[in-house]
Amino acid sequence: MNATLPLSPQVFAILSGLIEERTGIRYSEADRELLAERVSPRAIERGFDSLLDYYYCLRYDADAGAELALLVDSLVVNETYFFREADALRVVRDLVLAPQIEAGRRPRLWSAACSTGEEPLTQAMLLDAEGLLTRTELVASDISARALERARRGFYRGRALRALPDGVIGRWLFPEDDGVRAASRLLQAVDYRRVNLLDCAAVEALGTFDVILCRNALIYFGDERIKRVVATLSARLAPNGCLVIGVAESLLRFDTALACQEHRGVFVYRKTEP
Amino acid sequence: MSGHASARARATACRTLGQFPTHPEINVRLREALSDVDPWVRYYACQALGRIRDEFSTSAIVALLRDNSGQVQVAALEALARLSGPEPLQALTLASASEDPDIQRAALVALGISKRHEARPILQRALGAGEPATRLVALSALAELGFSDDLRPLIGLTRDPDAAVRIAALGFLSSEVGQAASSALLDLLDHEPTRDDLVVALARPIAGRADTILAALQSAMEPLAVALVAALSRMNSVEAARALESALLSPNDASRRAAAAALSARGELAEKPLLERAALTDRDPEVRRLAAAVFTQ
Ligand SMILES: C[S@@+](CC[C@H](N)C(=O)[O-])C[C@H]1O[C@@H](n2cnc3c(N)ncnc32)[C@H](O)[C@@H]1O
Repeated sequence: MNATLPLSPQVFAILSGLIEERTGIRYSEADRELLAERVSPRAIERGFDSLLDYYYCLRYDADAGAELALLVDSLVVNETYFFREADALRVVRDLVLAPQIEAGRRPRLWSAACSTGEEPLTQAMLLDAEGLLTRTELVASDISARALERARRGFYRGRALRALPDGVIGRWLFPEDDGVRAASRLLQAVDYRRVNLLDCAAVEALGTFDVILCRNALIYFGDERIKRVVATLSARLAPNGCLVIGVAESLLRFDTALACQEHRGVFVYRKTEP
Repeated sequence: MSGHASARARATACRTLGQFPTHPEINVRLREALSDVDPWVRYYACQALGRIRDEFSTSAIVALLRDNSGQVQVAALEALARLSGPEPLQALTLASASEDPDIQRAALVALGISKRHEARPILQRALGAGEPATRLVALSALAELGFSDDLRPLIGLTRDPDAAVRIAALGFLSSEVGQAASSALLDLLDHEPTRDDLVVALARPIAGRADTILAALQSAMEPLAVALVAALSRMNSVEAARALESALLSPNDASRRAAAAALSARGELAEKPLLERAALTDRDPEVRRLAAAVFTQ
């Protein structure tokens, strides 16, 4: 059933507030109908016929954490594909990871909103092409349990493959049924975790990184959250480490402690001070 | 009810029973359900007993304000809104100062539903709450009581930093009948004549509003005159159409220009003779030009 339950401005205010507080994802008043459409199926599934009752469930039920995780799965935009904005991934490989490896270290890269895994797997392919994959540690995380489950499965089809360059199929991706399966050594090279970027303690527990990719996730956040998340991520960067955001995103309006640098037409945010 | 079916079925039963007219047997079952082991059963039992105004349950429901589950506390507050006597009012007043914002908001909503006059000062104070959601809830609750003659809090909130609060305040102000609300909207528009939301609010077809706008048009200067005419154009009523035509005959140049532009843009057949006369005889060349535009389109 696809019914949408009514969402009054008051209930919208508290529900969207709760969602923003827990996930960072911001809904403006103009998105009221959209939010009602996205939340209603979960509320109905839980046996509620009012979104206020469902809000109280998210707020007070003994099971609230699990319910919120399921709701998040239906709210997030998981849109991603292989080799999306791949120039940036080549730049961080050549600029940051390769020099570290040459210096005898094992650099760490974190894909912080990895969705269904196309981004970390693309990075893994680009590293593998230069013989650097086994010498780099790749961590990938997302808030969405459902997206991570698909990432771990490593099976892709359709739009995920829309920008594949030649030479990828047969080397890193292998046809299977109506899609492709990622090579197991790529999948094994990525350590998938479920991490909410707003959860400072969980982020801190990941350690420090030479590269953090946080692409096309902050666009759904309000400015205050972006500032906080960027500060948390900056604290996780090793000296000279790089934060990469999406090409359509910019941090220039928040004065961050990171230096914006351009390399081969790609903008990265660099930690120049320890 | 407990012991028979699953918690979910018992909760659904309570929810459904609250929608039926009172029946002694049903009330007894619902009262029992207030002490069910499942919080959602207690939640819906509270709601249902409130809805059927079961005064026998007052004390038991007040006791549930200390329930371990937050959702039962908010349902108890909602139920108390519909129960009479001093005990519910006292409980709601206390909860309206709670540190838990959801408890506080549920109490404010309940005070609105209760329609008790004692609620007014509490709700007015809550209009100044730090959280926008709380201001919004307090405003909507106050609307349940009616704003009586004091529109000041409402006018203040039309400039709230939060968009949802502003929209709600303007929505209430625009649907208030009477001269005071119309004058307040005109005053706001005079200060910010380019605010579209004010034009939309003023354009609500409330009795007498078109005449108030027309009166203001007698002396309005340029940006305000355009905004007032825009409100009349949006209003879509016989009075508004008549007011627009009168504006075209106003001694005030700014009003005639705005009206000529608006009427020309509408291009209604019935208004053409009036525009033709203005195009030929108005003393202001700008009015003549704007009025003539309808014939060249
Ligand atoms: C559009 S995808 C971007 C995927 C990939 N980085 C790319 O650029 O193609 C955005 C992802 O951000 C994730 N996300 C949203 N809020 C998050 C949060 N608070 N913590 C972690 N991930 C979050 C969503 O689950 C979603 O998978």
